[in-house]
Amino acid sequence: MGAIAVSDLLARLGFPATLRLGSTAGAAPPIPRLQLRLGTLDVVLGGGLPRGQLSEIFGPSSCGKTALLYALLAAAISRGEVIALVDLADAFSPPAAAAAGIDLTRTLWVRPTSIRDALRCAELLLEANGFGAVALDLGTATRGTRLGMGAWPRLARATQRSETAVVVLADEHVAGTFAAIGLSLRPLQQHWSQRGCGPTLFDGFDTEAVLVRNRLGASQRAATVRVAAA
Amino acid sequence: MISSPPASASRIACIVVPNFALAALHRAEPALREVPTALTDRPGPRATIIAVSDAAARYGVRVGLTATQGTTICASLVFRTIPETGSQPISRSSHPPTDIRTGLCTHGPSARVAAHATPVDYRRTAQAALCEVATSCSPRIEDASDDTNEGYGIVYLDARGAPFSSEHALGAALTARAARVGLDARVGIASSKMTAYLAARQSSGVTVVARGTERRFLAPLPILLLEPDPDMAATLARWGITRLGELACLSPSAMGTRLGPAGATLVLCARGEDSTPLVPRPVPLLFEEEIELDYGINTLEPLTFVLRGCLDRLVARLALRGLACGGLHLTLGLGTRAREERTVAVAAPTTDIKVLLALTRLHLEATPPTAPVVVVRVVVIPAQVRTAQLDLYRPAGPAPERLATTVARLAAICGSDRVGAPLIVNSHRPEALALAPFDPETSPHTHLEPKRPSHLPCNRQAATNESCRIALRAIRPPHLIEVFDNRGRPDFVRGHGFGGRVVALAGPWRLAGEWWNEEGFARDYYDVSLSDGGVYRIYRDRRMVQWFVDGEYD
Repeated sequence: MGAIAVSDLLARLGFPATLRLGSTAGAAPPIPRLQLRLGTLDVVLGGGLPRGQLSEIFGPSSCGKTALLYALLAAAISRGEVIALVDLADAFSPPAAAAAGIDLTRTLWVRPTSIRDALRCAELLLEANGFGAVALDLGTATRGTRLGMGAWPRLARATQRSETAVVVLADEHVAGTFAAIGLSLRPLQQHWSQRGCGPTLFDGFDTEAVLVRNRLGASQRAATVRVAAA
Repeated sequence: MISSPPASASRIACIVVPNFALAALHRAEPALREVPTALTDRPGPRATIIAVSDAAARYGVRVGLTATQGTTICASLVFRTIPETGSQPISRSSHPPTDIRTGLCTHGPSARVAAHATPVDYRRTAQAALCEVATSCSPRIEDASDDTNEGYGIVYLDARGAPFSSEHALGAALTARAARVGLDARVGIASSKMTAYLAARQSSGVTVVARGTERRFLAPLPILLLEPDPDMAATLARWGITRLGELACLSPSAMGTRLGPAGATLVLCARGEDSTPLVPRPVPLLFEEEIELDYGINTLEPLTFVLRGCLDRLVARLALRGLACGGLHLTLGLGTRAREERTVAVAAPTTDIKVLLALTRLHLEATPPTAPVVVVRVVVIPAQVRTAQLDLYRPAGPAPERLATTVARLAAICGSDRVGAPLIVNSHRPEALALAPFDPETSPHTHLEPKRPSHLPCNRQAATNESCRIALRAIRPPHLIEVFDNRGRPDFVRGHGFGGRVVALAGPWRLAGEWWNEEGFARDYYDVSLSDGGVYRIYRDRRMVQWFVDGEYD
């Protein structure tokens, strides 16, 4: 390596002797993120879910995790990206997704039948390199299932090699320390309405999203999100 | 570009591959290049050797010996058989091919070969490759081979107007492209077909005979190169004429008087004034390669290795025409004398051999051959290369070739009916479901929002939307549940993995359809909030009088 190359590297990274703690010179570039377009929640997440990292959204039934996932996928598609959904739970509803703003023609829907196949499919999608977001909907399949020791690290490594936002959807925390973001959802209040003598309608619910794990910043921050029926 | 001479003055290039049958064999089986090899006219120990490789010649094996004699001279001599002249080509006109020849090809003197087995003719595919080479330089080409399989290894082309700086450059390009498809070719360029052929045949590399120098170039060549019939050759020998220069001194009319029209033509050829015109014929867009194996293959790994060789040669031929592979027809000749035909779909035209090999391998993994494979034939469906048009405002998606491979791999894991782009079915039945092939390149462009740097933290004032749309998680197929009702309204629900008292309820909404057939439905739908915290969509099937849950609001 010539002197020019060394000086070029030093100019880019900063001279060690001149670096000061807290200075931005030599700092890692900011992590690109995929916004959910949900104001407070995006602030809590530090600008959205990170690309090239594994994120988890988990919570009990009717907590709004699927609604958040659809919001994320719709946001990716609105940027012109292509998305993929590995749907182990076989819970994807095309009409609901279309109503949430997901362009179905830019959505690759994969329905594996076992959790191992689901993880393998997710890895293949990441190797294809070009999907803006890859979602892995595990549903309740992780209950009582023991995965191999290497499953999650392998997926995390494949994620880091890509620029894809990978989201795992489950009813509990499953990826352990390999998830950079862990977002726990808890339903707060349901909204039902009735106008006059008309029928009762389900209007949605509020949910609390708590950032229980954040390897990239501060955690234990919360936001309330309204999940509305229309 | 080579300047165009007057219309009457033609310039013809001739590509010749010496010892073509052996060259075609080495092209199909490169491993035999350094091995002593002999071609015989028929299988069996009494077959006559009709061509030998350089390695075999070094051992002293000569043309005309029998296979047994050849083995006596060189114990490691490998034999291959050339099919009889005039044997029916497999698929010159049929597509996809409808016939395959099976049986052993390799045979030593004592090898037993099935009586009806016909070996694969590698000359046909090599000749097609040679035509591709010529077509890549000129649209007007003449394939010298005919239906009786004569003239293999010779292709003529019109050298006028070729996009090269000189005729030498054209010749160099032809030899280089021939090498790319695995053939060691010679090129001759002259004003007549015969002169171009003799120029190509006489010297290696590229030989250009300038206009007006044909007679001088041909003069020292032996007269037997013109292949006169034996009687005429004997007459000329009696006259003491052995060189073309001596023949060219004679008068064509006088020769015509004594030896007939053939004699006059012979003199004109010797002078370089052969008037046989170039007869251009279109080259069919048929890209086919086949190989016959020494023994049956019953595992995927070696079969993949064999397929790779075929695909390498096919992709090289496609590249000469600026085309890509849009699909593959695979024909496997089995040891049981049966054949299996498969079609490997390629989502996007590609020339990436790895992609094609991966798709073929996945196809074979999904449906392996039922018996050991002894013959492999691959036919490529040519297609124009699809270039991805990048968008200024849209991130680049997955490359079409990689996407095709990925989708194929996903389909191999999950099943082809479980991978694709979801469709909204035109049906009132909520569980109706359909998938379309995933092709984001052809999807209509969605409205794009203004782009902002994604790494910047979200601004509270910029994004004030705090709500998202509720989603329904489908439960497929709908689960049968137990419902206790109070005057027809659900009061308590119990199903697999959930259950509880109904704390809030909306409905019913009646849905009925397809009443005109036996699969009609009539349902009363409810949205119920249970005491376990979940909100579900349940319905009562009015035909079956049973309750089901088909979704969860989440």
